[in-house]
Amino acid sequence: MTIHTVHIYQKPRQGSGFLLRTPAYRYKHKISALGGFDTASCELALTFSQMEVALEQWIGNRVAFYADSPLEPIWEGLISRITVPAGIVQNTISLDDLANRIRVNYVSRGVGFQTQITTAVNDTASQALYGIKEDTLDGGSTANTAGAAGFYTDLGNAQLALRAYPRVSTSIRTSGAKTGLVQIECIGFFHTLEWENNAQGAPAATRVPYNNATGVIDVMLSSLANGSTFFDLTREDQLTINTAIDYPLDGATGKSWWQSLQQMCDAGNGTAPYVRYIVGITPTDPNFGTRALYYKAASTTIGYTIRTREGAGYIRNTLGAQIKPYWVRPDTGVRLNDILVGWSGGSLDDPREFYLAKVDYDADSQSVSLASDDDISVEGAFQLGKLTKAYGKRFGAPLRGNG
Amino acid sequence: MATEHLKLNLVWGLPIAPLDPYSAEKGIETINLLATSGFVLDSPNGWIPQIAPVKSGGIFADSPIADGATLLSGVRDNVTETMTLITDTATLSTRQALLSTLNRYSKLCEDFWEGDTQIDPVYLEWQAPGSPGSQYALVYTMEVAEQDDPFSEPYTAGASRIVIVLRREPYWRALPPGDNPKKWTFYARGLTTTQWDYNDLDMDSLVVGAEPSLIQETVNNRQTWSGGGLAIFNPNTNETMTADNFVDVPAASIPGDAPALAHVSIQYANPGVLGASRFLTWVNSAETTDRPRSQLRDLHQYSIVSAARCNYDALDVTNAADTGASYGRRLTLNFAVTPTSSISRATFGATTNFEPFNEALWRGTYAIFMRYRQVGGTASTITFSLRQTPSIFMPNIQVNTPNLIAQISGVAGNTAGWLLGYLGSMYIPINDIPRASAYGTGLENIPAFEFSLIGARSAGVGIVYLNDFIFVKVSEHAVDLTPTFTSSGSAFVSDAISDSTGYWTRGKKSSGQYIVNLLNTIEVDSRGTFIELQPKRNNRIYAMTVDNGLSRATDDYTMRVDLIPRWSGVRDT
Repeated sequence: MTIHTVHIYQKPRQGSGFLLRTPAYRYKHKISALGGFDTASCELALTFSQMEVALEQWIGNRVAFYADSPLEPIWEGLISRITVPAGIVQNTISLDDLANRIRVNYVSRGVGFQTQITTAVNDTASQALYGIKEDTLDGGSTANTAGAAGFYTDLGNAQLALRAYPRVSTSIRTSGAKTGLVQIECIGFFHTLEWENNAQGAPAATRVPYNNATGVIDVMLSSLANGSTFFDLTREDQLTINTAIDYPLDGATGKSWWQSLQQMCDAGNGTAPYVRYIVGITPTDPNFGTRALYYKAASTTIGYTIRTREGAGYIRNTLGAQIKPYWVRPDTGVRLNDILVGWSGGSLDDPREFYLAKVDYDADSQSVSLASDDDISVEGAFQLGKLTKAYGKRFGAPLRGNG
Repeated sequence: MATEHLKLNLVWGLPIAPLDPYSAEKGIETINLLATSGFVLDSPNGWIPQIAPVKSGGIFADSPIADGATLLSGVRDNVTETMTLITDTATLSTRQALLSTLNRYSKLCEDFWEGDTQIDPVYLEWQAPGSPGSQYALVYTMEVAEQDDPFSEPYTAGASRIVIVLRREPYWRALPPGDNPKKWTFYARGLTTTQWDYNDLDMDSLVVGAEPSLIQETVNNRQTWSGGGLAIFNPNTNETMTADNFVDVPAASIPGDAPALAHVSIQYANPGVLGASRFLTWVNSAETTDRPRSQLRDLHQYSIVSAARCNYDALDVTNAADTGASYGRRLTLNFAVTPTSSISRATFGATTNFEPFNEALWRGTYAIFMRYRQVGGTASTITFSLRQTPSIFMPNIQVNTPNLIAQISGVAGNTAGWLLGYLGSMYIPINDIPRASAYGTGLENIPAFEFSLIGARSAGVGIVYLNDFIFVKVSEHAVDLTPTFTSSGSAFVSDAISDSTGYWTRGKKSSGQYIVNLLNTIEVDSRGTFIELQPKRNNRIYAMTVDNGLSRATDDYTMRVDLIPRWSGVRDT
């Protein structure tokens, strides 16, 4: 096994400067077909002064994890949470509650129960550091249409003052808690599409997913407030034209761009024989040095094989060569080679094959957990924005707005 | 008194370079653990050196429905050892002073790089009977415990026993952790300590007449053979290599039984004029066979393949003169006016003669590059990928790298600057089952192996110049130093360094460094694993450079290698 190292860079809004390389202990990552690099976590052995710098300065910084190949990271994204132990005290700073652009969604009962949304209020200094991270609050409903907009704007300003910068929480730990290692958690770049709402205004308009002109993705690429901060908006080489469905792009719901893209992918290619579609952010291209949005049909070919008589760390390609567990990627078919040999079920779903929707890798055990999109144990957050959730297990809140 | 060891010291700090009048080092402080007075290692068996165990017994792939388990990863853990010391002092205060020193060293071990002030390593220095010299190991922790009543009289030999439990790094080094690796080079050359001084420790050719590194050669940013640029490459004609991008570290220069740490650097021939802003270096220590080269295609013939010596599709491709290319020739791909489909544009490998392919040397994962320029047409309309066909007898078994989308380089005509385009990574050969001979003779070399460059254009016209293909083995050790600054002016890069010895970081961790403006060092973004060398095997270390976005095939530079051998047990060289 090759040691995994984390490379920490500046916040994307500030630049691409290199800050530090250090070994990553207890490393884990998750990669999803829908989205790309999803989450990662590890622990770092830092000096005391480095710990303080980490707590103060690293939240929102870009990271890349490398193993054997120096050309391609095994995972990359942004630091979303840092936990620094200091004796019995543990400080945690996180991007989770950060919101430097706020709108408030409310229903005006006096105007025929029409959904309204306030004009955004902004903290531009925070946006210059972290990029724009938007939240839409639910203001409920009111019959008082005259003063409603003003009140909800005040509400937004108040929340902005509280949430414009990452907050640090402090906890006191009992004895026996682990000390000495800084824990970082990271999110993939596609999560920044959850940071901006699809503010296209009313009335709703239907658009094809992508036609290199007026489609949903075209509109998104031309209107993202974060611009090319997290990926290159001008790169459309990973986008597949699809004009077979009409998606109701409605900006009056507070729905994020990511939720809209997920919904759109649920309709697939929109025509028989139906093919699933996936969307996300590619890894950084070693030649261009940039990332791009991908929108394409999910792969229907078998890329990996596994055997029930081998452990969770043994993934092979179709010719039998072992794939290092940290290089296993979703959006491919997986076939179990040593069960139901000779099975022929006609039109039945072949139990030996599945579409790999998600990969979980654990460095300490050198194992990967593979999940298909019909795996009902797939974590709820993965399905939060999907219109078609796995039967029998629902998780989390329903979609915001007109879901 | 222990007699089974020739030398056993606890040392704090790195030695001052001989005759250095302006050293910033504080020098070394030592506790002699074999002293006739003071601390004495109990005898016999006051200390039995251990061999590093496999960490947690190894990581296994295990299934409840199959016998046994498969080892996925086995790495060595730190070594925990116990030493029993006996104090031999006349007074209690003398004894307590010795013990206080021991406790102080214990604290220094724990503080090493934990804060910002204690940056001098604490290490064991040991020479076993029959060993030719000292060997060293960084000590991470040291716990001191008294076994006897410290206040009992008399305070003479045998009066007090102290047990130290120390945890050290897995392997013994030939030099103190963080020391200059050139000192091993001097030893390997048979130089005594009076025959070199601080001037010879120079890492950057700043001192005229300094003792050179263990390996110090001029290397080229290309590979060429004695055949001309028009002849299709065929080593069966017994061509010799006329330019290369590697140095060989022979097996005899790498003693030990654990991977040797290596300091690998390059320096341009004209510092101040040219500079490397990106440095790729990798190593291959695969064993060779005794079969003659004329019967075997080996890795060295293909780590860089000149496009001008490939077979090519004559419809759209020509072999043209280019003073900036290897051999002074390139392949020009002139795509037709109408969009073209993905077809093979150039091929290399065992083509018509079905020469055997040395799979043993090739086996591994390779990052594959192509040096090219797109000088016409629209950007992002031309894509390439490299196809591996393990045997032309079975053409349907193939694998392609992902697509490289060609970029307009803006540099036309004959010029040495090429874009270093990354085609992707590929395992070679594409399955990892060694080919066994049907004749029952064991391993068999693969006939008829072939690579093909697949190219397509989606719209408009396009012209691409090809210089060569570069195979970088990343499954052994490979590092890519990529600074985020531009090498120019006062930030001119003179040296690029991949260092696993710890010299630049005082024994703390590996690093990649650039020397800027001949004097100032800066740690740069270093991706991958730093070079280590397999002991008692021939290791070949390769290099490839890029200067501010362009890789010049005509560049030459000096490549230096110094190493620090390591042992699991007693040093034997």
